[in-house]
Amino acid sequence: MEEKKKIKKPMAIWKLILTDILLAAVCIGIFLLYHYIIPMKSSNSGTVISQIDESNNFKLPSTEDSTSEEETVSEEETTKRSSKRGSGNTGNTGTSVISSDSGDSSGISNADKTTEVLENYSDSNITFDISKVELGSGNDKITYYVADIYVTNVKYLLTAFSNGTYGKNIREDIVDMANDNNAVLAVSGDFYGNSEDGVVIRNGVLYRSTLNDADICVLFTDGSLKTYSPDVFNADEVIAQGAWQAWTFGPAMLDGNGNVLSSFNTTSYLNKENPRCAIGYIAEGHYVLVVVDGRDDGYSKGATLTELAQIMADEGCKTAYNLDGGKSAAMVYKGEFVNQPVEGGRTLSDIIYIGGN
Amino acid sequence: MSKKIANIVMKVLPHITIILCVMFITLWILDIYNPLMNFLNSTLSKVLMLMLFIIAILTSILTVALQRKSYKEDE
Repeated sequence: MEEKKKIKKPMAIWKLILTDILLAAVCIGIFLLYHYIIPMKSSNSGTVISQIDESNNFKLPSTEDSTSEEETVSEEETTKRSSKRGSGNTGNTGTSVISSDSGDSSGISNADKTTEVLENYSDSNITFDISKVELGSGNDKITYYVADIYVTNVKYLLTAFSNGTYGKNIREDIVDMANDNNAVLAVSGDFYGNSEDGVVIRNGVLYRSTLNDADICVLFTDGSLKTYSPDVFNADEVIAQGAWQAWTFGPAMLDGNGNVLSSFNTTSYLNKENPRCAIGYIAEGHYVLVVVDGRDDGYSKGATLTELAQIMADEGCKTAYNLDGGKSAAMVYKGEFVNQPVEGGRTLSDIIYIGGN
Repeated sequence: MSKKIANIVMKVLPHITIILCVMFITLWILDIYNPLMNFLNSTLSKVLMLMLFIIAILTSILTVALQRKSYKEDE
């Protein structure tokens, strides 16, 4: 009788399996905590791979040019850049590879476009204006901010790590990062700290050259900006050409001649309407930073990659590259948000900024 | 003593297999949505994957051995 009492009744199978699943959930939590939350400084201090050529200076637009442009804005609020620079871009008609298949590939209409210049900045080496652009109306409205930037040298187009430290999961508020680096203008970067792979070159220092599946964007010391798919990217070649900055996020959106690519290296999930951040190249010393707000009906629905590509093409970019978006998408001017990040934004691994020490 | 340890191992291994499998199914689904987050390509994922393979092989070998044993006992 006593022996019978000692024999434990085995747990029901469904309870056992449920326990296992709960344990798996705990393990996933620990995995995510380790992989994406706990900050880990890296001992990698990088290798200097390029020096700025001080003699390689670009011209800033003359005051007369910029004045006439401002006048154009006030007179023709609705068509500033699209009419001026956007001709010849046919829109993304067949986006499909790993696949940007949201179905809205016909491009966006500029019919309801309004542009308002918010800020102007100019010194001896940097000139830019920040414009707020609204497209469409009602729940289809897209609101985005464009910083149209001229610099005399790429040394004024800089990047910074959170807390000034290269590492994994090290994050800082974008406003704090901008202030720490005396940035006049800052936007969110590629969130390199979330990944163990992907090319990271910042201010002429190589930190990482391993590839992942994402496109790579490289800004060279001669002022040019190029995008590469991972299968054609050659780190040695790019370093030899004088890489100043390299980001790994993507996808690349334009073909180098201002035409929207027919397909993007992304997934359909990532091509959905979202807040976005992108960098565009118009000419040596002339760049565009765009931040699209989103997830706010009536103010801005966000943009698909297809729509963002069209926006960049309309801004006159030859090359354009998507950076980290969603809650990360933010633009800061003189220590204050220009856009309205979703839920106040999030802390970031890195920024792209203008100005500096 | 060794029999006791073997029993414990036999009991624990299938549960570890289930836990790791559930983890990888979850990470695989997350990876479909956002491959840039490297849910499956990280070093930690690769170590866990190796663990899963080894444990799955051990579990399978022990299961086969037990089946053989019970077959012999039946004979």
